[in-house]
Amino acid sequence: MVAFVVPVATVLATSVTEPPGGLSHYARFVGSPDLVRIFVRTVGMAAVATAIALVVGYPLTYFVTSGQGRPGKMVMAVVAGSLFVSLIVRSYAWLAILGRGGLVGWVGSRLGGDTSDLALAPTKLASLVGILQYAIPMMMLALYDVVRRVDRTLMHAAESLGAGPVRRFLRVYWPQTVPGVTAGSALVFVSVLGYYIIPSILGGPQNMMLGELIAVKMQTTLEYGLASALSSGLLVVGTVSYLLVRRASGGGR
Amino acid sequence: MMQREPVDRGRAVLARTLSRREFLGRVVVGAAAVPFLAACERRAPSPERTPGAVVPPELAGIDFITIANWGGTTNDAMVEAWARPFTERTGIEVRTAQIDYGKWVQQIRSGNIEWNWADVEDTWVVGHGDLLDPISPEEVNLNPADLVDPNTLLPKAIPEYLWCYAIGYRTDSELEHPRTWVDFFDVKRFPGRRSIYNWPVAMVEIALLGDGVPFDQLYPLDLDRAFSKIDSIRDHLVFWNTGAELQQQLVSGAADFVAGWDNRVNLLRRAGQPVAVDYNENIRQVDYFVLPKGDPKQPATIEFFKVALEPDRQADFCFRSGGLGPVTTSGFQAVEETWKPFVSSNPDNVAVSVGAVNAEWWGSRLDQITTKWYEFVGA
Repeated sequence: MVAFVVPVATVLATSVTEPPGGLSHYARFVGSPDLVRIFVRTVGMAAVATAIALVVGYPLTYFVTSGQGRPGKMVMAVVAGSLFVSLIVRSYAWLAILGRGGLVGWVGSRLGGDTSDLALAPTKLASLVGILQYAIPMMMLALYDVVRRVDRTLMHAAESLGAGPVRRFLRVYWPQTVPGVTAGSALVFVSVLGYYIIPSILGGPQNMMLGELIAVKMQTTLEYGLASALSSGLLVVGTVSYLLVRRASGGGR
Repeated sequence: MMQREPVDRGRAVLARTLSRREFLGRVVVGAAAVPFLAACERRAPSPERTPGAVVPPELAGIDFITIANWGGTTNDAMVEAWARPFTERTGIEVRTAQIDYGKWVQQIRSGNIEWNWADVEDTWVVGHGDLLDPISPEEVNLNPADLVDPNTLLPKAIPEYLWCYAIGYRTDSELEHPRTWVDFFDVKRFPGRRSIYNWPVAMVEIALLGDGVPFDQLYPLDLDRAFSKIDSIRDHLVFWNTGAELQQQLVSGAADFVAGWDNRVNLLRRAGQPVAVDYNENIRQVDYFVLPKGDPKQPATIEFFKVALEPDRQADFCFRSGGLGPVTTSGFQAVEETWKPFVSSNPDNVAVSVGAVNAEWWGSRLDQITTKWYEFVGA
């Protein structure tokens, strides 16, 4: 508890005590269109990544846990195993695949397209792809245990009582997985908010996320006050979104 | 001494993979650019003193010094040309780290000096004199009359090497390369992807030159005008963050033209890559030997500077680094004739230079403009 509270308190304190003090750093943050734009981009990327990770991860987790035997286990092993490969190596691999003269452009030109000059990286899209490769496994790991425990006999019971497939899913299956969805979404959203190596390699400085800017301000330009104010902004977004999701899902009662 | 091919890890990887010209080989090239992310602290030569070497008494008790530099191939050159002979003579180990101005400022201000010297630019030196202790040419056995440019001597800084930003390009491309900064920013007449340094110094200058401002009217720099010029070619622009990344972009084809450090491109060329530097309108800068204020290891650092300033050490570093220019005339003369065309400070290259970055102007403004720059680039 202390290990968690003390650093957060320090960051919050720094954001108001670093000269010129008060709310000046927050004022500069909010008053700078550049900073606001980077902030909005960061929150947007996190939201989009969370949504896609859920849409892709949910059915995959269902498949993995629905007694598919070997294929299911293999999918889970590949997904979980991919987390063991270094973030930097993975990002550079994507750069080689998506970048100019990379695999995608090469395959495209072999298929007769004019794609030899295609540069999908560094772009915002490449950055999203790199982030999703992290976000989807995280989402699946969070969902896995919850989805696995869903009592499937209830689905048969609902069917025998005349519920159609859509209704069975929405009224019987989905509610049982909500805790996993909440935990997974919160986990993915909050961690993507803080990503900076992946966007730095695959998005380039033009698609910088806030984490990278905070690092620059801490290490290179030494603006501790502003860096703390930016961090506090992320903290607020993360906390508020978590509370909202919890509330919406009926948790915390 | 010059006939020996310098061993250079990044370079060897580049040469090996690209000769195969396989797209997947570029993964390895990418990996060569990784060190910039892992602020790598590598151990340089192990301390083995040459038998019979006399170690001055003020160096007693100093086991190692740490130097911060610009990484990649320049780090390798510095280790081989300067650190190794220094260690052989003094028995003092040299450790290296990736430079970051902010970190060094913090170290000196807090009194916890980790880097006994950092390879700093003229623009940084001018604005940070309060963090430095004085150093004189006599202390490092430098005869000021031997300097290529006597104006490079500063009260608290001894010139280390002379370098420049120039246009690098691929020689196997169908695209004609821009030869002036106006052309560099003219994406219609010179189509192709450009890469510029993610750092304001010199990049603001080239943007203004590209917008038609004559060099003698550059200062005071009009930042807004420079930023909007850069914005005007954003779709044709990528950025490089380290010298290794610059090399990777040019080799992989991620960029057709770079506004970059000439020496990094020269090294690629020497490794057999189809790239070259066009020195026309190059912009010059100077890097410096300086002493962080109150550092107890200063005697060892000064000894390191002495070694590095010897003519044959200057020449050796010049070759290994790909052309970072000797600061002394005797050093330049010691460079092998065949390599002289690739030296930033070669009079022929200086003659076609558009001028030198005005370090005086940048000095006190560097930190503030850097802040603006990163926000501008990121937005």
